[in-house]
Amino acid sequence: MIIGYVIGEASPQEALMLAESPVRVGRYVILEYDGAKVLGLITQVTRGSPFLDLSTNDVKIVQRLRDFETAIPQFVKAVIKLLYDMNSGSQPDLPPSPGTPVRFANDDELREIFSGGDIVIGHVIGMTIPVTIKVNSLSRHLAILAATGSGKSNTVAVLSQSIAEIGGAVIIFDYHGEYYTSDIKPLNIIEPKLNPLHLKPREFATLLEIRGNAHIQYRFLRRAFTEYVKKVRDMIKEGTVDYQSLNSSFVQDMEREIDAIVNGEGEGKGQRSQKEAADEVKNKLDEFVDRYGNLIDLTAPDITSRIKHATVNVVDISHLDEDGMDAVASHYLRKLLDSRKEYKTRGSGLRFPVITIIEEAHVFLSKNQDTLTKYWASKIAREGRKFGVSMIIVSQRPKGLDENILSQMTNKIILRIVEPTDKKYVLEASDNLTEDLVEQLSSLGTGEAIVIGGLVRLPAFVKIAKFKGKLGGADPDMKGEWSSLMQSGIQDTEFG
Amino acid sequence: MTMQILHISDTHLGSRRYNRESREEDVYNVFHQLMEIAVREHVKAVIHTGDLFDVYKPSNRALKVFVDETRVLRENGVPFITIPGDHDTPKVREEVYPQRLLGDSLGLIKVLLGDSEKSFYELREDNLSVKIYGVRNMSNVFKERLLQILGSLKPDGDRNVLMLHQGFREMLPYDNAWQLEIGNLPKGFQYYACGHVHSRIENVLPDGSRLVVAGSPEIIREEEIEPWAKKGKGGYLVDLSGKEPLTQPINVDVRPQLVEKVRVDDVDSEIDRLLSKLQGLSSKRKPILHLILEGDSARRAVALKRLSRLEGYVDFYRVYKDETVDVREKVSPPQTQGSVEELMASYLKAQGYNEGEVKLILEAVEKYDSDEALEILRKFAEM
Repeated sequence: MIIGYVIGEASPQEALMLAESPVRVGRYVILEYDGAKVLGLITQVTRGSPFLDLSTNDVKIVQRLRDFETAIPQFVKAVIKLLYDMNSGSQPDLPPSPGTPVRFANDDELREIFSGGDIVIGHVIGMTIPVTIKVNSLSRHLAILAATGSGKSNTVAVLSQSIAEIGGAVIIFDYHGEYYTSDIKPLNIIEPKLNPLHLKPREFATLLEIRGNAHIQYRFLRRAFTEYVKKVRDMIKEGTVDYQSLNSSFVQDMEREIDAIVNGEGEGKGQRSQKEAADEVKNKLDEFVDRYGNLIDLTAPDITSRIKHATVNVVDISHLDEDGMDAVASHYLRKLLDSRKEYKTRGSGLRFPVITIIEEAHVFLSKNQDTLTKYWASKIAREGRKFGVSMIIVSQRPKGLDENILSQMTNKIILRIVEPTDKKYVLEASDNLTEDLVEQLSSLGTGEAIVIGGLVRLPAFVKIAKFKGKLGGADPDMKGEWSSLMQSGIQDTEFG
Repeated sequence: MTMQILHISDTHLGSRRYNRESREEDVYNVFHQLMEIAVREHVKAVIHTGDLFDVYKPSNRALKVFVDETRVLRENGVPFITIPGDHDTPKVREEVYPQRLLGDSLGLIKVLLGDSEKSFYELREDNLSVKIYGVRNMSNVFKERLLQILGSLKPDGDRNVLMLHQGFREMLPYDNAWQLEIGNLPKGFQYYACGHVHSRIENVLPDGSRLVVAGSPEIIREEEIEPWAKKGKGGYLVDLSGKEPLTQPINVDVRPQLVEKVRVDDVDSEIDRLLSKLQGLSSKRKPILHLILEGDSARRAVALKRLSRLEGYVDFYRVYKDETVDVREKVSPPQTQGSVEELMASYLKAQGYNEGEVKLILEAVEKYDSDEALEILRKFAEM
């Protein structure tokens, strides 16, 4: 069925259609000309009437016109972005001639374009054509961007569940505690723990907030920490270890090591400054224990031996403060990357590729702030592909994201974004996103998204599937909770 | 009444080191002592955490020793509960564990595999239920399966014991040597009875439970000599009456073994020194000597002849390591000080590389897995 004809001047990228009746933005159309069969996308629709143009300034004329039996003569014009020549399998290289008929693409044509991937994430907006993505191209990472409440968590859930179903291993750093209580199956909940035996002195120093320029403090900590680890290892070698008391006396043991170092170095001339630095390190240790004390566990296994494939692994960091989350996430990312490198070089590390999902990425991968996670995430963004560690970053504040990392995320699933600076920022950080697509972002509904990158053959407008089951992200029922409290209050008085 | 069990492991019945009859008998001897302890201490069960036999096809003699020695347990109604270790595991598909013969067919012992129907054996005493769980040794290939089985165990006795025969990363931190980390252990057990490592290990875990590696009751390999001298060998008596298990190591009398250095240049006075040392040993049994020869290799042949003076005082002696050197051959002693990097640098310099080249090579080694590695190699090729 023909819906309109090309008019005006067209280019190989864009054409204007005069339509018979109004059409929706985001629909796919087919134009056949000069042996090419070109798939186009309607990106803009205008509707007007020559009788009622901008020079109309008497409302009575309009009222009278509406009283006529016949409708007001009008036209509908639509801008069509020419995407793909289905005959040659490439970008169209000729513009359509004026008068070229335009019709909606039929199901088979769209299926050919959008259903060639491995897992279904939803369907083409307004149609029943399933949209599938190529899982292998996730090795070039993915950013899921959206305003709050536009369906990020649902997208993450649908995606992780589908990846697990084809045998993949997904690790979600669960910032809000949405996933570990969800109905995702199979779910492997990982309690966040840090094992000093697996930490590097530098990592530990950062946890203590000993900055890079505090050389004396770092030297104390480094020596004390190395000595401590050595003593524990010796104990393990000896065969008698009481992990219960070691866990609880971690700070005391560390402080004892520091004292031993200070007293050992006693005669030096900088004695007072030495003592001060040592005290400062001890203070930081005390603060550390107040904040992360319950994260330390000398028997915590390596993260790499706790994750399972064909499973959604959820690290529940929701009860930690942001520093704690940063510490855990960065340590785990490092371990995953190292272990995959080890597997590639020596065959002894983690045996399967993993996909890590970082929620609230603007916090961990902030543009303005250096975090531990940022260092390892950018390393994964650069090198992860070679070793089978991919990253999915999720954020509702794209403009707060580090641009280097964002630009490494070749694939993007962008849900509704209204904020103009966010849109601009995303556009600038993506070489496969065009201005006309970005324009559409504000008009998307909840759960609707534009998918770009190697995941799909063409930029796709997708209605993301609804995750079947419980997900923790929904807004709390405040009114409900209050009224149930009121009711119980009434009961109390009745029985009182 | 106390709920006490005896935990033993890695008995390696049939092991015949250095192809010596006395060695095989020693292994049977300590097993006999362990059975005596079980009866003397009135234990409710003997749990054995794998490597019962040295090979999966034990000799008839080893089988007979086992059946005969454990008769006293059966007469006293003490069950012998075991899991197969790596040495008990058949190396061909159609074969079966020797434990299947002794357990399934003859009913002499109770065998736990972890993934078979029966996942535990229950001991009862005065309304106290003790459940003994166990998982057979699983090799690296089945790491994930092992974790899955461990996750499926539902310890629901008043006290729960888990028997394992695996390498733990904490104790054996080498590639392919471990399948488990302590943190992988399922919760809810008060006592983790472990085998595989031959020297004793006692750990208190963060939740207050105990992880004990009983070790082998005889010295099977030379590296067990030092731990044996410090801690002895044998098994553990485990009292599960209270909420926290009480463990007590219990020793058997092991034939003494010594590793001694001998300077071949001065062999006679060395032998005198050894003989007086042997006289100081408390055991009535003749010791085994493992000798490390040092000094001028030209004197070795003479020294070996003179060492025959030791015969009669020892069960036997053997040259464990030969570290004698030819003094006429010039060798520069390897550097033993400095970091790995410094050692590599000095080696490379000795090979004739100049300062700049050495630096690049070290950089390439350092960054072998980063994006820069190729760039460094290219630079090196251009030099």
